[in-house]
Amino acid sequence: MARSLRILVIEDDREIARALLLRLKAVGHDPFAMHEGGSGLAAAIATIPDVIILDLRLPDMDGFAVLQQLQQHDIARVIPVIIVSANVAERAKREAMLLGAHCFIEKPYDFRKLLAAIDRAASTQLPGAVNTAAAS
Amino acid sequence: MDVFSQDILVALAANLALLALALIAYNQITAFLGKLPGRFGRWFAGLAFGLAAILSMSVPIAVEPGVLVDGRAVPIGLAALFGGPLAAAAAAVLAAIYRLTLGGAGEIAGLIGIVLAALSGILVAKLARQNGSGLAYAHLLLLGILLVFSQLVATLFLPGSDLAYTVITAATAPEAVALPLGTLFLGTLLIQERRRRDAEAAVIESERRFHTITDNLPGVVYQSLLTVGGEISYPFFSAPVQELFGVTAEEAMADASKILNTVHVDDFDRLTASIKESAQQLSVWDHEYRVVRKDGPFRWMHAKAVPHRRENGDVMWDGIITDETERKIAEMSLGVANQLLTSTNQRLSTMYETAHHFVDNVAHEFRTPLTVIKEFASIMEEGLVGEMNAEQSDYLRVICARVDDLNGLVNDMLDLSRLEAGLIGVSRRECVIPDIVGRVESILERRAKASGVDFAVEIEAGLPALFCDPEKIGRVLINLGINAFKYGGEKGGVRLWARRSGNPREIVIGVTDRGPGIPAEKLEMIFERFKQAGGLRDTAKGFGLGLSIVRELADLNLGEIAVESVVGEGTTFSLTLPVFDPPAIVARYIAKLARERTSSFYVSDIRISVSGAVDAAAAADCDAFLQQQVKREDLLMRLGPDSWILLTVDKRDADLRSKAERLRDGLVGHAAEIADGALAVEAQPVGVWRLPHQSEALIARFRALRDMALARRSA
Repeated sequence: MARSLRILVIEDDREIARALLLRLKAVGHDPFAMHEGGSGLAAAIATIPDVIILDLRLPDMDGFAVLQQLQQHDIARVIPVIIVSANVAERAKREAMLLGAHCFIEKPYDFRKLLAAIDRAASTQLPGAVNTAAAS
Repeated sequence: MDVFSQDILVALAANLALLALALIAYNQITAFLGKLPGRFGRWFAGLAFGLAAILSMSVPIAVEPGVLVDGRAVPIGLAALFGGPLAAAAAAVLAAIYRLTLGGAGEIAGLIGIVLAALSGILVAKLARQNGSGLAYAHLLLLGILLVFSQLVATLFLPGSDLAYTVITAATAPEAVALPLGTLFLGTLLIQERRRRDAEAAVIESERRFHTITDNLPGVVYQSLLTVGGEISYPFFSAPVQELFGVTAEEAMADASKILNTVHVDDFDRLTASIKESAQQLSVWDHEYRVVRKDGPFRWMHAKAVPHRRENGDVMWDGIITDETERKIAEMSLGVANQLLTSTNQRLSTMYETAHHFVDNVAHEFRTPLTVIKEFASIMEEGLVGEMNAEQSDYLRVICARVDDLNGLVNDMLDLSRLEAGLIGVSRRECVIPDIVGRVESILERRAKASGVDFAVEIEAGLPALFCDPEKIGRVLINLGINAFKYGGEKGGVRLWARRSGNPREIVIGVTDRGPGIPAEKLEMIFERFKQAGGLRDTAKGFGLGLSIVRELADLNLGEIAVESVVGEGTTFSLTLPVFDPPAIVARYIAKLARERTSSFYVSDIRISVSGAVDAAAAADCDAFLQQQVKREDLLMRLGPDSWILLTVDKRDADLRSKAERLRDGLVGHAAEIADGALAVEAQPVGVWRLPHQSEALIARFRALRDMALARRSA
């Protein structure tokens, strides 16, 4: 574990969010969670975390919309976004990548893979880069 | 000419005038009676001409006592010309009988004169018939001369040469003048009358024909008139107007409103406007409108009429109206059918979308709680919330492993429903074994650990690239692995391996366990199930869902599944896949299509290429786009970084062209999304191949394409 990262988890399922916070803290990161798209987007813009973990299905605005809005923000667009979703359709993956997601991880996820993806995302932070490397 | 002869001439002229009156009367009578049929007409002519001769004889000039000079020869001669030989004979007989009743010295000569006149007439009539062009004035003149001679000859039969001499000197000159002139005059009268009557008959006949035609036409023939003042009238309507409009022709011609009132109220303004336009521009009036009849629902009429302007500025149309109701109904029902089809299509595509979403949603609903279970079990197992003893950790690992299994099951069900709906996409491409094994190795390792089974991966070095969908083959391996852990893993562990087969164009990937093995009869059953590419529903008969999916996914990848087992030693499930060698892949593809068909079939190839500002990522994206467009029965091969060949079972030229067009447009649209620079995209149908007959040719074509691609790659 290279360094402690500030990670924003935007996830509407509170149990999953709780488990993620617990495990991310356990490995030394500094995570915090939001449960709606709108509040998540606001938190991202306000705090500019190192990494965002984003669910696609959210109660108010969906993950795609959050991604789009982030991309339009001068500073927030540089934050790498990792999609963690139970929507594993190819269409969803493609669209997320086109909208600038860093990578896509399917639920149920393998936490070690998620950690690896976080490390990779944090170390390859490029302003506005559209990284097409797939998670798997 | 002496005084006596002059008297005879005057008397003859009077006689002929009398005859003229008689013939005019005859004309009137025949005109009144109409055309008499055949023989009856001839008898009547004979009677009439005979009576005329008698009339002529009733005012004779007695040259000598008992010797009569008159114009009788003229009607008898004309009888043959206008009534035929029979009429001539009848007239002659009548005249002869009358002459006999008069008696006298000239009796015999008179009879001979009558007979000769009749014969002259018959002779000239025959001449005229032979001539063919009908009766001419020349014939009348000829008859007149012949009659003069016949009377002269008859005179010779008078008793005593003195008498004959006297009569000849006195009568010959007046007869020579009067008979030809009389014949000419009376004949002309008759000819003109006949012509007039023929013309009349022709008019009547043509009118009759006109009505026969117009009354029997499947439509109405009509004339309409628009006056300068704007009034419409119908000078003519053929009888079927009653059938079409429910108004008789007489009513319609008498009162135009009878017709105009039948026009559907919604069509009336349009109708009058179009009539006005036709009148102004003198353009053909071609119009469809509805007519409401008292006796039923409305009918559709199609009228077409040609206008012409009269000197007074009125416009007259000659036209036809036909009942197009049947056609209109057919057209409308076709329209309705089309609409129905469109809406059905829309509904189907909505259902397709809904089905897609439903499957995705169900899977989503399953995965979320599975994630929660797995996460908290892992958290506990990892000791994040307090120490676990070894047994507790073990149980929690089992929970995690079974959550993965359950997730696999969800994926299987997802695939199953997509396979059944034909929705599953397959993205076959050039890939290497580590692409496939890498994505499943860790899952299988964890699963093995949870089951307490040794798991090893053995991959032969230097294996060539494969042609398959690595994700789908990964699913096959997970299913085979889980199957092995479940049924055969307890003893000696499970191996996942990949190696060359005997065939250089194939690679075999397999999973081997050291379990109890499968008895021969059960093995055969499983093997049979693999062979029948049958319904997925046989899972209900105990063939695991996992193995059903394996078979289908293998089939999608042009692969073959095999199973070997020795009781007490273990079981091996293996999957044979083609290496990336275009001709070999095409051969497998043809073989697969042929297995699914009983007769010959067609396959066409479409060549696709992109050029311009294409970097590797953009090309990969184009590839992903094309892969999405591929149907289950199609084969897409990427032969170079920016060139593809699509084989499709379409064969119709139009289908192929529209497919190629769709691909091209899709790529162009897609490229606009992903690349800044312009892409030049080509998609062109190349050929149609009849299979399996032309298999060799098609395979040879791909061999050539491969060699070209290889040459380009090395250059």
